[in-house]
Amino acid sequence: MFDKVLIANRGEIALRVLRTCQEMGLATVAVYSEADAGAPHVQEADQAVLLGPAEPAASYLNVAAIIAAAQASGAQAIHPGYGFLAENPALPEACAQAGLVFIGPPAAVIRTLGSKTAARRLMQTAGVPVIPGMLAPCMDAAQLAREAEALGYPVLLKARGGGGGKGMRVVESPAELAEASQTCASEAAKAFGDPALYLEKCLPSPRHVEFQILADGQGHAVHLCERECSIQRRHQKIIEETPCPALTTELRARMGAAAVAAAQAAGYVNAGTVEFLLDAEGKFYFLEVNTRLQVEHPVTEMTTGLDLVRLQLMIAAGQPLPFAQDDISPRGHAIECRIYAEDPGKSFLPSPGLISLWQAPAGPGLRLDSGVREGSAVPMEYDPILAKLVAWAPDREQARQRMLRALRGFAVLGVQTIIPFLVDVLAHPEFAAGRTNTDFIARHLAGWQPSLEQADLARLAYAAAELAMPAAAPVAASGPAGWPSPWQSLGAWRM
Amino acid sequence: MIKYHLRIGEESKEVALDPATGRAGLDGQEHELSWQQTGPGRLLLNLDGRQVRAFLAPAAGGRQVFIEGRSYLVQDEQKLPRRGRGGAGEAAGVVTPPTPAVVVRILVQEGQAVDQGQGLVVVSAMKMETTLCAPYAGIVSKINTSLEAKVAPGEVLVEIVEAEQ
Repeated sequence: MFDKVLIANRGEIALRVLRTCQEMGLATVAVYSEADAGAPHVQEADQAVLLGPAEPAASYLNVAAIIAAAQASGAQAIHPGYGFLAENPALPEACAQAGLVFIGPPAAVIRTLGSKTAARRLMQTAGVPVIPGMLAPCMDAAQLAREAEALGYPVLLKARGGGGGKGMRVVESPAELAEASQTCASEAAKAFGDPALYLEKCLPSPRHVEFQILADGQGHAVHLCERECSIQRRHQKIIEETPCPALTTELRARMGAAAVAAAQAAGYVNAGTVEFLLDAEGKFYFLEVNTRLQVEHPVTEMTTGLDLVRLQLMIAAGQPLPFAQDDISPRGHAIECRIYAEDPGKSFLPSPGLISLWQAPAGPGLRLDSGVREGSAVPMEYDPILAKLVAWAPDREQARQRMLRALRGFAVLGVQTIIPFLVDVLAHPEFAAGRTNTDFIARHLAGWQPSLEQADLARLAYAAAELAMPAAAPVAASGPAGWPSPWQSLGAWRM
Repeated sequence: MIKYHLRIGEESKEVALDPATGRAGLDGQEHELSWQQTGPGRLLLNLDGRQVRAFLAPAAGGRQVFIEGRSYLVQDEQKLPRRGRGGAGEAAGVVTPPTPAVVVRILVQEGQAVDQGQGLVVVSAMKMETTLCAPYAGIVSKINTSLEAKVAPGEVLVEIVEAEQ
């Protein structure tokens, strides 16, 4: 097995991967851009290599610089994390040429599954149900209109190269199709370098339910059950949980078997995720395969007790899966909240800046995967995810209450975060009842504004702060009524 | 008694606080308030016998305050400029990015006539693109930015001479 791993990513996921490497006795190499000098993922690695300027194209997306960093540092394997190059076949191809191990699926598998229409054809052949719609892309307006008519409005316009909610539009009526397809094609060309579009039937209010899969190089594949990821803004997830409140044991078994069939049809190796949409009648449809570790993988780790990164490293080193499907028995319930630096009161506008205060929650059943700390800069060049907070408990209601308790004590200042919004989702009676669908936010929390519940307390706190810590002299005086500050009361002690 | 006029969002309220006794007045109610700084930006309040942890950091025109899952920008009316109260310095009618960002596309040229709401500049921050639109119809008199420029809120990227009604 390789003994030194380069992690081609930043932030919380770089730290996540680094920690497992350290536990396995593997040496670690971090890479970073000029914007990330001094970031936690850089300081906690055994070695760190500067890739280039802040722009992703010059740093975290620069394949040549990453391969050079691996060679210069003597790393024999590269973990891509998620985002950046994780689903770009150019990185595994360059690894193969340089004699390095890529910790992920083979380049050819990434390429096939990256084309959404090729993946749909493959799944249909393998007997996995796909969303009714086109199996090949089309650039002809008249043909798109005929296909849309045949499917029945509303339809979903999607990009062949798509993902992450980009190049995707709901089209309600024939009149909107022409303009929507132009906007979509130009967005897709910019985001994926591929303007090709196709149509799918738009399912009303589905759930997003995905299955974690693992496949080794010896042809064994298993699934690690589902994650329910319906709470989304801008078609991107913000809360994920497992198990999904809507699945019966029987449905879980059928969907899991479809996910394993999908993996095997694609010749999948390593960890991946098969995404489905689930309708109100319990019918499920293949959406896409994510050929990487998912952001939300920790909820699966919490309930299965497995370390997915360790398994990724073992599979990449050629080892067989150490268990079979029957050995997987999840326990309890886990919920993940993504802590994004965004302003939820202003349509989730990104909020870069400096984290002037970071007070993370703690306690039983909590896990925090964070890429920042107090004093960290949040650069404008990258995804605004700061951390992921995960709560595990024996059942869903206890996990929900645990998450609420943790979020209410999670103080982050200097940038805006979505924490106040997450609190309102978790506290919503429909969420508590497990009725989560992809239109949850649009339906229940559209036009959200911060609650003024604690506004008067905040005013009193402000007034106290003007006396206790005036802006010019941040060191404390204490309040009245015999509350000496520890600095005063400890004055006579020798410590 | 020290009096503060503290604004959160659209609402301003008077808070009176006696530093010697900790007696506080708000909304016509009297409270007993004491406090202790427990770390940088961290206060432990005691309000009428109940403990509350508050977290504070300097922010535009005041302090950002986090209490029990809620976060507010609290501004002192006396410290705010006479005009432009009530927001973090967002001036209507000015083409400026909402957050620090990079200019990725410029959609107009100097001298061009634009309609109200027409896209002028596209900026990108944290993988999200935002189109800055014309606040009113008029003629683009000046473009103060260029492709790939790093820009910040308050910087006027495009100047428009308003069309006469």
